[in-house]
Amino acid sequence: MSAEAMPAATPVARPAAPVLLEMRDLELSLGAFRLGPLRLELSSGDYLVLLGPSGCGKTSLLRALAGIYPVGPRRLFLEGEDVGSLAPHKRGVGYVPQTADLFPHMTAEANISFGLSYLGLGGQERRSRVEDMARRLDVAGLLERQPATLSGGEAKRVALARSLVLEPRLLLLDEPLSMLDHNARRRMLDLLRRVHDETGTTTVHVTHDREEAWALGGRCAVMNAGSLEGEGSAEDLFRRPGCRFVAEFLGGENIFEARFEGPRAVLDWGTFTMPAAPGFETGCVQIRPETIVLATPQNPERFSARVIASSDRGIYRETRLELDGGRTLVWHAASSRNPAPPAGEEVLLCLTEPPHAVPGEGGGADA
Amino acid sequence: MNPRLTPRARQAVIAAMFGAHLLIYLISWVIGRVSPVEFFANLWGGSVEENDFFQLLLLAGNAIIAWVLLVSKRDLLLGAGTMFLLAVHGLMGHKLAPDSLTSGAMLMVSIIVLYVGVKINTLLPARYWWALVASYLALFFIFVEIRWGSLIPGLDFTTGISNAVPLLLLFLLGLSACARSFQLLAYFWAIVISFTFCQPYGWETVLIAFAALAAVFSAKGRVPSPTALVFLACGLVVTFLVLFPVVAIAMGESLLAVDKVLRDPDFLTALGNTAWTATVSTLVLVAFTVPLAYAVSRLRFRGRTLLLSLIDLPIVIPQSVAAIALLKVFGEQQYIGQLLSDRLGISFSGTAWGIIVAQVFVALPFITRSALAAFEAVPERLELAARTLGASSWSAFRRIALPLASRGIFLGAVLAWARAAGEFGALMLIAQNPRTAPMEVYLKFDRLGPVQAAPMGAALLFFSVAMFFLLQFVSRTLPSVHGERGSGT
Repeated sequence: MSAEAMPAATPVARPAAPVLLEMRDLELSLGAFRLGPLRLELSSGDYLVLLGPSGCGKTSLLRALAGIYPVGPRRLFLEGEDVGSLAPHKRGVGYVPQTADLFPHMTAEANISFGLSYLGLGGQERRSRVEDMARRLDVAGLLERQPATLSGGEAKRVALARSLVLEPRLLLLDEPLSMLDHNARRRMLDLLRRVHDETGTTTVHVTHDREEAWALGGRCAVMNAGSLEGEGSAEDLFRRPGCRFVAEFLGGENIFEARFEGPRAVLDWGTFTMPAAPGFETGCVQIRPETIVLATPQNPERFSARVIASSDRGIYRETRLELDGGRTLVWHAASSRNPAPPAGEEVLLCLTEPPHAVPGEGGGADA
Repeated sequence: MNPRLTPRARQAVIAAMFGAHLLIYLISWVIGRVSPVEFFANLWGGSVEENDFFQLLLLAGNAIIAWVLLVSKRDLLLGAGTMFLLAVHGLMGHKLAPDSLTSGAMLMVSIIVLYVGVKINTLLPARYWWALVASYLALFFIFVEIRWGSLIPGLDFTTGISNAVPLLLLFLLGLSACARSFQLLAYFWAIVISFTFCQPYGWETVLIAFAALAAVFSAKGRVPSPTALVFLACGLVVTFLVLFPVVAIAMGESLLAVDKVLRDPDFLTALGNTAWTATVSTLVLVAFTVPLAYAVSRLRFRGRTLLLSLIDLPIVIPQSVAAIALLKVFGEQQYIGQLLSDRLGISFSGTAWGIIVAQVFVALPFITRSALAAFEAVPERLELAARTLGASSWSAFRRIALPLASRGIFLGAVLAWARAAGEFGALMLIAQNPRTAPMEVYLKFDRLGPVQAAPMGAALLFFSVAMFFLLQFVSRTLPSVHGERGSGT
């Protein structure tokens, strides 16, 4: 599904920035794998989080953007210039690969200043730019080190510095948080946000982790099997997914087949009223686990379920429930407020927000 | 280990052992073997013979047993064992070591070994004890066999050992010292086997065996793998085949003879010829094969597999055939050879040009394969990263792929150099002059025989090996894909 076909999204606060990157039906064949056709525009200063499961073509897309895989003419434009056939070193696109790929025979400093040697800068200027970038990315103390002695997070920061120091027109980050421990991920996230705020570099950040999309905000796009399935703000994609794949990939749980009778969604275990008719008759609904609460007897749309198991996740408690007909429902409740119901107990529940209707084929979401 | 016996049972054991002991002496006296009884008889009669020192030792042995069995509460095993040894000596001592001094010393050393065995038995896992016992018996068997060669009919060791008995004593003492660790025991056996069966190459064998043992004992994998360890030991057997002649020729020549060779002007000229022709050949190879290896490692094209096989062709072709093939092209009567000779004045038969062509031919696979492996070990990702940082493909090759492959390329060049310098077969047919060192060694051998040629061989060996190890060492300072500089870590 291309960007135009998405349901109206709440516009993210975006100044009228010039279009920086434009993909016009970008296509790429790599053996049996086909990427595209993709249509996407990025404005100057955007931060796009590109989400997708493993093997969906995220890395291939980045490589195409970086010029490692040429895509041919009239497919890819950067600042209005057709770059589809341009060699990687002439594109001015920074690419930070997933594995950092620092040059093992050079110190961190030599790695960072590698690209500067092609800009014809004087030694003094080069040094000052390297030092400035190292300070910003918190790697100033590592400059003399060999890459083999760096931790995963340090290597990624050096690799980021190596690309950013060239002031690229477009920065491509391939899973920048992968293979980092929890704290290192958080630090890296903060760093990415700060660096983007400071430099305003247009960035495409590829990941399979939806949490990163939330944390980084901005624009998101979801990819599957070589094509874009949805695009918009993180809020839109999570709360109001436009298709079943996005709903399952981002939410994953509580997707049920439904018939829609006007604004009413009829499920095989209950009926819920939505604010407006969805415009299609069959599809699915997604019920977000945190919108489920214990029902008051007055609530007309209450439903009963049996507790299967409950586990505490720190901030919230996750309870798996069995509905009439054997389907499973996941319920997230704040740990502090609700005591855990014992397994086997019947509970009466209702929703604080109506479920979200998603077009598309039904499937075994509860399997 | 130490059997827990009730006091009554203990006394019974002691009594039984004493009984058996005395019985053996009695029997040996009756059948005319040596025994303390005889000694006492002689002492009584006032005619102590020279051999009676041994009998005195046996007596002392009896006293030790009595003391051990009665006083010590732990080493019943030692007592029983000592008694057994004494009995055996009583029966066989004279047959094994007719002079009583040796026989007595053997007995004492045996008791020491036994004592060590008991200590091992109480302090270390049982397998050490079994190793000691097995070693002791094997050692004993070997030396008895060496001394008399008659224990197993038909089995006839020819060894360099003439004075087996003192050596046995020495080795038994060594065994006692080494038995507390398998590692020491293995080194011990390396010495024993080298100096008994591998004469007159005892020193060479010890050297190689020690190196192999050091390798096996220091071998450590990320995951313990007895299979790999056994394979290592098996593989070392083959390297033995290579190492043995090398060490033998290196150790076998007197320094004086080698020194004389080093002053031989013919040899020095040949050495010089070898060095410069091999160096030129290697440079030619590097200039052509390194780009080729890079291209083959980065590209997939039709005929790639064929090309890879072609590279190996010089290994497959016999050198004499290669020489004839080269002469077919570059020889004087051939078109190309004639052309080069007429136009450029370059002739191949019997010139340095011929030598270089032959060397390039035979050394080609070595550097190409190494360079190919080296480039394939450099992840293409690194070059891609360089490309996105502004490097052209040439620049990415020069700054990333080439430095990271340099160690492999250098090692390949060293191999190629060594192969070129050692080339002999093809040169035999193409260019015997100017003489290279292998040719000089051959001609000397041809004229004067192996004994005269050996010092020159030793000298050449020394040069080759020294050069090889020096270059190997230098290669460690080059970067590799793993990001470690040998000297820096």
